[in-house]
Amino acid sequence: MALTEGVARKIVAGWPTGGFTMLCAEAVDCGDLLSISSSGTVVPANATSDEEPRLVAGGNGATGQGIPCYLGAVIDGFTDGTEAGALYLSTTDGQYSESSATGTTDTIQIIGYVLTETMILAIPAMRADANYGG
Amino acid sequence: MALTDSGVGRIIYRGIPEGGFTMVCEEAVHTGDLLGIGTTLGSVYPVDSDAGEQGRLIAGENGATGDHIQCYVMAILGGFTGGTEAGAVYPSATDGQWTETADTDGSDTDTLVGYVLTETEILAIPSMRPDSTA
Repeated sequence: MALTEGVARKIVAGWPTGGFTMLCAEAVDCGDLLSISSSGTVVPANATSDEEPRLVAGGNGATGQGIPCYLGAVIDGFTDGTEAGALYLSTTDGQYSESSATGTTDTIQIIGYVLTETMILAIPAMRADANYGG
Repeated sequence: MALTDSGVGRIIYRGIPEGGFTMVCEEAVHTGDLLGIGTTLGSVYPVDSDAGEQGRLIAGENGATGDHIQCYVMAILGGFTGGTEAGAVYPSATDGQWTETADTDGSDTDTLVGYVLTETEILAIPSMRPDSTA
């Protein structure tokens, strides 16, 4: 088995406490991995776009809406996580995967670890950016 | 002098995320222990560099096997002696402990997991560097 995204993620703990506000350049779901876009906006990161995840969404948001963001978080709401497994940015917008992307130039750095079958530790900005393209 | 860790009497001055989050002890742990993520549901254990184990979290309190304890991702820890200010900190060959001397035996863990702040305090950031072995 491997980590599967659930219907609704929940932030168990995030830091900094209370988060800070960023504007959504696209629709965002709570717990999404976010990259920083232009003019102080965030978008759900996608490994195939070689986007680098920097933040975690603290709530749902529509385009143009402000949402709380975290530098790191403990997130619940997944299924079938492999305990202690490394996590990577998915090829689906904002999502997490236990398998790194495989396309040339795809984003492949570790961005967290599985804590339980349903809960993960997300630390997206802590490792050096990496992709197959170097 | 170099950092000495007795394994007991450590103090958590500040932990991130605030309040921590709950994990289950796979073995007995002490407050401030460097913890790895276990392979059973939501479990943690004190890391031993000799075993090639990688630190991910910090114990927020003492716990016996099966106990639920608060854990942190980062922390300011006190209760040490002899620390060399600004020195790098590594997992020790004694369960859960911290040392300024990286393990050099083949396949033992030598990942940098923090820095000395004062003779008695360290900054513990175990998940921030890529996993490394000697």
